[in-house]
Amino acid sequence: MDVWERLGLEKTDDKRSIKRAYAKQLKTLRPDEDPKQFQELREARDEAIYLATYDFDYEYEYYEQEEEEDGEELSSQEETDHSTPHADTLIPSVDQTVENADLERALDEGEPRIDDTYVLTLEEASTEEDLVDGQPSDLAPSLEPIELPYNEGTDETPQADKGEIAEPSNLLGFYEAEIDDITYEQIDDEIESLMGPWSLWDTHEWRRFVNRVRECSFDISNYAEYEILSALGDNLTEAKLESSFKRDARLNILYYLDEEYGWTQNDRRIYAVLPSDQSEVLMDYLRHGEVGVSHGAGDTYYDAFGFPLLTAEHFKDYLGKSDSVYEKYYQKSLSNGKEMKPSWCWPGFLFSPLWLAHRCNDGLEALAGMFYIMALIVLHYGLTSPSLIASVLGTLMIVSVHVIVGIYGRKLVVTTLASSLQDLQNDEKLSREEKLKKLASIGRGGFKALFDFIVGMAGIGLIASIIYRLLI
Amino acid sequence: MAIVGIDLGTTNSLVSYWSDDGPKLIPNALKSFLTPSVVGVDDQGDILIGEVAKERLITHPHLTIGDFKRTMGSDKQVTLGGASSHSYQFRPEELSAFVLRSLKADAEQHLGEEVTGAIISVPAYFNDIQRKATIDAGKLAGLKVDSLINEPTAAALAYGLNEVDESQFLIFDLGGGTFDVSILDKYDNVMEVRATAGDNFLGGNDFRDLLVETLAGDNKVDLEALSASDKNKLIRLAELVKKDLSAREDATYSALISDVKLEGSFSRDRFEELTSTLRRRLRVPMERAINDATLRPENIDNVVMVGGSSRMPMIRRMVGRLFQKLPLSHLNPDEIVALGAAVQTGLKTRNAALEDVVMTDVCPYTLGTSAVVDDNYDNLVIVPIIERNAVVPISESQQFFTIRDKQTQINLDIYQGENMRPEDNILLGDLKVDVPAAAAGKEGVDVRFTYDINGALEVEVKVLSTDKIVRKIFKNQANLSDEDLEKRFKALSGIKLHPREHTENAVLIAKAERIYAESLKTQRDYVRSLILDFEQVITDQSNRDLDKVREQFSQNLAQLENNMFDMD
Repeated sequence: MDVWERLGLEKTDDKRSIKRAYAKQLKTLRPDEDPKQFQELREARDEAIYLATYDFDYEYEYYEQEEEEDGEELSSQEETDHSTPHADTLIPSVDQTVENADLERALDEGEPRIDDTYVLTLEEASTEEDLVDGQPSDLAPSLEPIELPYNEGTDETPQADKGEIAEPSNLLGFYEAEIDDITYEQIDDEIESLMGPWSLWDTHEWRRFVNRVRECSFDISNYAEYEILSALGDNLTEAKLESSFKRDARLNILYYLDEEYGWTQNDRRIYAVLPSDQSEVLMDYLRHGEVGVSHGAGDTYYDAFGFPLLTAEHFKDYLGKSDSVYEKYYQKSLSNGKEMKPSWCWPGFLFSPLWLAHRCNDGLEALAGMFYIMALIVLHYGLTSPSLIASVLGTLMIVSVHVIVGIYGRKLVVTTLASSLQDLQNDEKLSREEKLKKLASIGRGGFKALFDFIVGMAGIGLIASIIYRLLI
Repeated sequence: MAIVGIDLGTTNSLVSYWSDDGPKLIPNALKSFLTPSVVGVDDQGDILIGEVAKERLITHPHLTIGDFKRTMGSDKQVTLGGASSHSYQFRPEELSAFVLRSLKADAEQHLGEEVTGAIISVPAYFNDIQRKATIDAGKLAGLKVDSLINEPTAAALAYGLNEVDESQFLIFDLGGGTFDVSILDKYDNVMEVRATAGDNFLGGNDFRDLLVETLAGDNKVDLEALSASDKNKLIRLAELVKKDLSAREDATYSALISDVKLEGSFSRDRFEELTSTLRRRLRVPMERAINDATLRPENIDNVVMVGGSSRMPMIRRMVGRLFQKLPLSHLNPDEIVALGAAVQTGLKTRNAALEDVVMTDVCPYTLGTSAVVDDNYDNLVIVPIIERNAVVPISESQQFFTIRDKQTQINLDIYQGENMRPEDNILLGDLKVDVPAAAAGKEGVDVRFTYDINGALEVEVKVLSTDKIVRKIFKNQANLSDEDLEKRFKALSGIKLHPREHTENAVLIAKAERIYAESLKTQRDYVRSLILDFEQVITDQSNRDLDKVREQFSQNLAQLENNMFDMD
């Protein structure tokens, strides 16, 4: 018998109605008296939920995420625009007359199909989905139970209440206690200091930290667990430890953490091999059987393929380790954004051409840097011979260029980087691979913008001096 | 002919029934719903149960025993009475049977009819052996145990009946000796247990024991050197301090133990720091249950606190912090399990009011057999057949083949547990099946595990080539055989329980004797005179003011006790 037939239900992706149909069927039989039928029914339900989850929900969760992320409501027209092309491109449509059995076989063979009715039901369902399975973690529901009386015994309890019952003296205090005393940033900092080059590799320090986060909410503690795992993946695998400094101390920490969290070899291997964002997605899948849902700090979002959208981590991964300065700048751009204030930068001032050439770090741009220096030398000598005014003017020009780089250089780099990164993330036409390719050029984009600015200034100066010479 | 629900707890037990107005608790002879799970022997060789026995823990430590639920399913025998003329040896099943007998008597008194059947709640994480021991205890008490119900499931039934439809909630059940977590999904009057996890050796008593150690350490008392009676005194003191810390920030205590005056104060912060390891152990089952239910913490709509130990503020705060939700405890955490057991009796007897409600439960652990899965024949691993948190009843099968040429027998060891290596799991039993001799891998068996709603496992093995079937229902060596059970039932029936109608007086005297043991000098004399006077009144049948005298006696005792454990 077909699963849908067993449930007495039309094919659907709506988990709620699958459950409802299951409940209805369940009441016609007694699990304790008819275990065989019950098992059949249950298996049919599980299968139906599985089909509903993995054939349909997948992209929708992504769009829900985006809606939440943007914080703006997409009109139903837009929503249709989003969903239809995806359903078309990812899942070839088939005729409605295809037998159920055929469809299932096709699904089993990893050949997903869909017929038109599904697209229709889905559009309806995606709004209902918000109510049933949507999980916006707003705080409002958690505040509701406050109305419930904190009453320990029913009134008819014959034995007198002995007063041993804990009665929170004030509910406000209770709520204060509920708030975690550590933030995501603090966790990052702690892990960095525990793992960093100056770490003492002291198990007690780790124990103190782990105990602290393990007392916090699941949100915080899961985040910390993932962060520790990913940091371990980078630094603390057994293979890497073989010849390292303070090997035993490090191994002890590893064993302690393994015991505390109950990690398996697999967990750590995942983190050692994959970039941390991807491994988080995989771990989520392994542990919760779900993909494409944000977790932890809430700043990781996933694209339609279940891969995380680009973050600071990618800078590190794809720009190479020596370029960690980009990551730092990106982080700065996140915190300061476009409102970042210009600030004095000594290297930018003293070595502006060399500094830029070093940062741009690209063949062509290095040549352009050389050109800039040559141009200034030529300009300088050209100006010194005819008159004193010209040489003073030239020197002032060079100094002012340096000052401008010193003051505005940093801001220009950071803001350009931030805005072009945002553009890239919001670009829906590009595939993930293309985005990654582009990322490298964006990483240098900030400096390039500054460089263009300076070359422009130098060019103007050069032209001005030529005109000046001609006029004289 | 009634069926009752029974919550057979580590520290307290309750009995309940399904009435037309829903689940109801049955009070005992002392008008209290809670009967302490303590069993003792009195000077006449009668068995004392409940409050009386609890009071005698200090005065007669060798004649009294509590906390025996933790030894359920083991062979550990307890000797009550020692060298005295009334000496008994009891198994944990028998001790539980006494408590059940007393509860049965209470129920029969209250309902006015014979109680024949019972649904007993057990910790969800009780294994097969412990469950069977519980059923045996019921039989020994003359009760037909219709089914067992998992404690968190029972709590969920009681909670879920009044709950709005459509919710996913987590039951946090921290009792005296065990800890269970269950996640339930309720929709359309279907209550579905999604996952269960727990720790059989983690409960309020562990918190108390830590406190005992610390109190002893603070006052330089050597725990090892203490007599049983003094140790029980110290445990009682710790219990009081623990309860007091639930109500206020600081508890001051003073008590006399083996002529040493224990004095000092204990702050809540210190207690919380002391027990942080225990609190972290509470996390593990919660995480596992959430993961097994393929949920995320934020999907849990409500957390329901069950069990007396869930009253500790730090436990609530921890749960509140973990889920970022105020945990619910509007139903009395001591009573909710018993109420749920009553609901289950209603479901079992198909009460009209519950016609529409369906409950499905899960098997909390993995069941499997050991087998070789790679080329190394010495490397035995567990092959799971029923995975943990599968909905019961369930029947699953798997095929196994011979590994050697001319092998004539296949030996199946049946295990329960989550570990990969067989030796790390609990062996439930084994089964030997003869197969025709043939080349390796030619002969095989189809092994079918059937796990029923009460947690009984049946293994059916079918030889593929001959269709020969071998069946076995598992019963562990640690459990009693049928003949043994019969024999012990007869023996137990011969032992008299202390008459129910005298319970109240007996409790007061036991309490007074405890106070006598705890006090010194003039106070002792006073208590002794009180006791003797009271006994005089009891034996003097002519006194019609017995109730009044008893009231006075009880008030005097209460006053004495307040002076002794002045907690402020």
